[in-house]
Amino acid sequence: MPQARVSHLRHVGVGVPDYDKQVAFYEGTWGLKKVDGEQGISFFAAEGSPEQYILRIRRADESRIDLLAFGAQDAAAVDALASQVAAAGAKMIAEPGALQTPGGGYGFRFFDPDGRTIEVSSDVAPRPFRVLEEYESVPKKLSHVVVNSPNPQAIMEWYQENLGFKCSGWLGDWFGFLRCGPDFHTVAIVKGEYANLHHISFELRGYDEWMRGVGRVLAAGTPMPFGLGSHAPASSSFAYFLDPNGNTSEYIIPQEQVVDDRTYDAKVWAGNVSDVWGTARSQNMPEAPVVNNREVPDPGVWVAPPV
Amino acid sequence: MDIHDKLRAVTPEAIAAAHQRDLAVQDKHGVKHLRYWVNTKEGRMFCLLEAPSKEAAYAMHLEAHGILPNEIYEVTEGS
Repeated sequence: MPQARVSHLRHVGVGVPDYDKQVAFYEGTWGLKKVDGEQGISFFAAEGSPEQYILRIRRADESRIDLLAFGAQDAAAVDALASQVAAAGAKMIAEPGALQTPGGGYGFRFFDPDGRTIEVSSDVAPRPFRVLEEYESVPKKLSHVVVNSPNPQAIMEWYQENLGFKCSGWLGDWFGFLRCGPDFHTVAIVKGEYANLHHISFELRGYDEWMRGVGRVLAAGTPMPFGLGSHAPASSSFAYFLDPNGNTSEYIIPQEQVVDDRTYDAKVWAGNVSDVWGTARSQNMPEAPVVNNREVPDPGVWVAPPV
Repeated sequence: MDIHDKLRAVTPEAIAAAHQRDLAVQDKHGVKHLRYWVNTKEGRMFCLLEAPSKEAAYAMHLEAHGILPNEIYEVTEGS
């Protein structure tokens, strides 16, 4: 078992060719707050989260994952995690040091065994946030990120052994759920031909806010390949949309939270647990009733982003 | 009053440990725990706090253990 653990998911970064449309979508339709940025890169916070930013969008020639960023308790935990992943054979991108991104902090970057860029940091300055009010239909926080992998079993084990994640369960043998705090999942690994992005999930305050948010996103003409529905894993309700660059983003209600890790048994689900209400088949794009069937390699694998 | 929904693996020991972590950091956030009620079987919890703001109560949960309330309300006591 690892000595040091990541504490939470901070943000996800993507590179996209149609940068202007992507920025306008997440700032306008999706309901995030642009808090920083310069030529070709933008940082977005959620009103209800003290994280400096939860989504980073960068102009790139091709659509790609830039990075997944996790928090750690303190600088000592960052150093310990850097030692753990290096001892496990991970290729370092940047040794622990001062971060130059909004909020500063202390962190390092490495490639996970599939070649994704992972950042782990501590001491990032929090930003002022507010508890969302009834009917406020904008994201409260980043919920989780799901990635495809040619070998989900190996990646699930690696994240548990070297980053301190716990397994919350599996859908069959192809969709594994990992948590690093009380939320049922902060990362999930799905069997796929290539290591690439499956989806990014944003949590809304509750059912009413989620429905209002879904309505706003649909009214903007956004394709919704899967939703509205409810998953058995995480006891969460979902709506998956395609953003202007073809990435899948989800609106979710709060997940179930695990209080006592020692008594929680990871489950294996089978059968129809992805749509327990039976309502989720595509509402406005019946030709593609799947969440994500991206069948191309991600150019961001084994290539660290320039920022 | 904060409300926690969909809690899983709720044990008296884990709740007590989480509450101790609340108490350890509450002063930093200007929060004072008064009482709490828990339904271990159905995964619900209700905490009565004195706090300068909803944000202070939320930040305390985040720092203490990350088990976050789904809703926070200002309440007045009836009789």
